Amino acid sequence: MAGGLPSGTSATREARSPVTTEPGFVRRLLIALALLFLSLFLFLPIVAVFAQALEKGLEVYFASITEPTAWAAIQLTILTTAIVVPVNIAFGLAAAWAIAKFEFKGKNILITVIDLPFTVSPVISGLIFVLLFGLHGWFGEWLSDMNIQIIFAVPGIILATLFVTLPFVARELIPLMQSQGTEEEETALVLGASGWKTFWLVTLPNIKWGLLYGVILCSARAMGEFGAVSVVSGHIRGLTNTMTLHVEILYNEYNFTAAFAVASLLTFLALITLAVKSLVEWRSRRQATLEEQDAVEGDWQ
Amino acid sequence: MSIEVRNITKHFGKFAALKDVSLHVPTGELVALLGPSGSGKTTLLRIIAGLEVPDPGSGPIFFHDEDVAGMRVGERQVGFVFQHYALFRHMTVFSNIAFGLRVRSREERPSRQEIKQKVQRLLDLVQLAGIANRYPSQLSGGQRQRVALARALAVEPRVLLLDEPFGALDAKVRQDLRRWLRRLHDEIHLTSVFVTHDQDEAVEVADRLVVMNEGRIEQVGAPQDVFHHPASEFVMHFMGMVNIFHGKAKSGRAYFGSLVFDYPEYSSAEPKPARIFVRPHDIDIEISSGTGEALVAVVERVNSAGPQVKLELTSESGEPLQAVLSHERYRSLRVSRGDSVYVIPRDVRVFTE
Repeated sequence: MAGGLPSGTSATREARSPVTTEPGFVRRLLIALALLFLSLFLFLPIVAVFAQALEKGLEVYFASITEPTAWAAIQLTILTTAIVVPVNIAFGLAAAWAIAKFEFKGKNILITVIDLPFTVSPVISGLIFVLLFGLHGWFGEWLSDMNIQIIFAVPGIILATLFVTLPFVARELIPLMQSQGTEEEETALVLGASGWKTFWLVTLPNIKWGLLYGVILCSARAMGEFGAVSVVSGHIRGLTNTMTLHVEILYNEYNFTAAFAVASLLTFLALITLAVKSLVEWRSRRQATLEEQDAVEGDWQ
Repeated sequence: MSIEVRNITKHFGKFAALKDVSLHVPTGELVALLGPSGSGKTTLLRIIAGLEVPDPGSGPIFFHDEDVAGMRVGERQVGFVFQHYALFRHMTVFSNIAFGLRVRSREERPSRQEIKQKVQRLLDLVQLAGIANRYPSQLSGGQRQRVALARALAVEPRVLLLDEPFGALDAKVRQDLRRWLRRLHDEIHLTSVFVTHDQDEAVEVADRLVVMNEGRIEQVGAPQDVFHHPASEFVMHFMGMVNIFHGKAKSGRAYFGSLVFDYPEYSSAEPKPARIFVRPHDIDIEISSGTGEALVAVVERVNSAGPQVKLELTSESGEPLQAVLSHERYRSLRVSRGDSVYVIPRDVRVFTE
């Protein structure tokens, strides 16, 4: 995902040549192997999740989801996502704008730092916040004096999720904005547009598909994050449990049906995200292809 | 609206892009900033537009008698055209051209109907009526550049600035478009400055050339003056092919081999190294030595595929030479590869250190 959207159309023009093609049985064998692998490791687990969730019938399934602690977990996950995604959009836009449109010292360091959450283990990401805001942490005493609780409370969960999802939007926009350059913005400014209007009328429409793609990946991760959230959550039922944490608790209590019911919700969200992601990819690639074709035809006029 | 810049200096880090440059562009003229890449021509254009800020201590930038140096780019009312058009890719041709009018504040914005009429007039002006609803990606390079020009003109700019406007086009389109730009300028008489590295383009389009090199202006003048009376070796080089003889200057004369030229600029009796420049078309080729002094050279290559015949020669002292002859003259000479000929420079320019 670091490279941005695949934009090439060359793959579609590839012709099958007898020189570079394997004999028929080899091809069929390879395809069969790939399918077998996919079914074992992808389709089967998904089917298993839904099968297990619905094992005791729809009634139990819905009861497991609407049960108060489960419902609270769903709400917390939605709240976290609803806060994290807009913040990441703002940060991602600002960072990508700064990196793509301006020259300044320490630019490469900034790009590297943005990638940090990708390379740090989520557990350690969570521990960083405990170290900072926990009772015995750097700001712990001051926070407890002020009567503010961050660790083992909702703010900690949001902070940890924010940290883990930080790179998604920025990473998507930086290469896109770098490739588009600054001339369109400069033109808008010369024509008398304010900086604000330039952003809304010129910059944003040019990056909308990349931005949407980043938002989708960011939401998926925010909903599915487990490690970092687990460290800072404290696992208080009905208060600081997100959906992933709730699934773990139910599972540890041997309440498999309820665990898989909530898990099936997460899986369902993941599948929807995947579908939207494919749609956005297809849409933006189609746009790029159309533009290329038009450009070629245009030169003949 | 005249443009005047005084004592402009600009550094990018340690690199000096402009060194104390002053320039006056008279009202209604079409002026070319001509120079190789890195000569500072684009930087100067962007400073006039307000897209770059000159170093502190630089002088004023006047549009007529108003100092715009402190103004933001949007307030200067300039039209700017980029080499790669910079059309808004998600907007139609119509919206592109109307952009500068639509972003105005409510009080200054023309009515919907006025905008429509204006865009239509501009589309007619740039000969693109009928494609208002296309997107930039559906246009050819030449069409895109004309849309960019219409968009720049829509805001009724005080001056028009063009950065390598034909640089990204192929040769044939470039030819047509530069002639068209010249005619357009004769129609609207908007003070215009364009940047180019192509001396043919500058000579063909501009009223006046500003030749730049390494952040300085080398010469300002009408195309024919710059071509026939180059102020420096650099300008001589830059304005087209030239042969160089490394000779000596002494007592108002310049010498190379048996050749002697007048050089009144250097009257001292002490010899000084001099470079003698001759354009290929200022060279006569003779079969026999005749009366005057001449160099002996051997014909290395003849290229007659073109409006003129190009000869590549090597002089006795081993220096390569180029000469350009008319087909008529070439036929009467009947020289071919390997022949020895006499080379007589007709018109030379001499420069000493």
